Amino acid sequence: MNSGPAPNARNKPRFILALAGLLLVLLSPALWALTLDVNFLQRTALPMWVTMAFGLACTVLAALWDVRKRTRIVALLCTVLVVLSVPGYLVLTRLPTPTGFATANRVPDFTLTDHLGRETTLSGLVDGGSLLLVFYRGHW
Amino acid sequence: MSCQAELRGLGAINDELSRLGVKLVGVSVDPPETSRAVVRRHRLPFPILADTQRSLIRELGLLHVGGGPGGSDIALPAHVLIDSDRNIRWKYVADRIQNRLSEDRVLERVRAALANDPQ
Repeated sequence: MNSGPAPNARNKPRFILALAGLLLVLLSPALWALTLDVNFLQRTALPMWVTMAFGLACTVLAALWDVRKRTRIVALLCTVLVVLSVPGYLVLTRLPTPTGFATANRVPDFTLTDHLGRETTLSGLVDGGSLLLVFYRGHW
Repeated sequence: MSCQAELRGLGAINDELSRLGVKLVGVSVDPPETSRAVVRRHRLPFPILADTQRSLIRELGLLHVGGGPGGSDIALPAHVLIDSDRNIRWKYVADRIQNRLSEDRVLERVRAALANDPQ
């Protein structure tokens, strides 16, 4: 009597599905990094969350179909990773609250060198107009 | 949004800011030669100041201690609009590493701040 492939042969693709889901969860932060230049995607980290949810769904589905221990372990690992990534994200992306910035209402005069090596003073820059200073984290 | 994308975006609104009488200037802890490469690569129409001593950054309370490569101190991403008397008219600081104002939003805020001009 032939009742389809042997249980092992049926379970194999399910375990592979679980592994693929785990891989997606692990790779999801990298996908977020690829959207650096798209403001909305970068700010919300949407590519990371969507990929992570999809990866988790894959492993959970695989574990529901394939009751073997190793598939369930992969699904459990995936769930733990996704659960931990939420507080991890909140902590790791948080910038410190600046001290004194909120109360600053005047910029002291300064002399700094510009990118061409020229000495630049604030008073020289302002020169009767307005000035927008843009502080950024630097190039690294 | 990355810092580089932010700078490119600001470069795109530089003309509009000039029309509003606002000069745009970047500030980072990078040495001049690094910023020169950044200006050249992105064809930025505005200068970048090298606050290698972190003096201005510290003065404004914008130092991110240990936030840079190898635990070095860098600037928090921020915007400061000042008038001819060096008074701050509008300011913004990012609360998350990936949060930046889009250039359109910057323009909007600058216009609003200038419209509230008490002078």
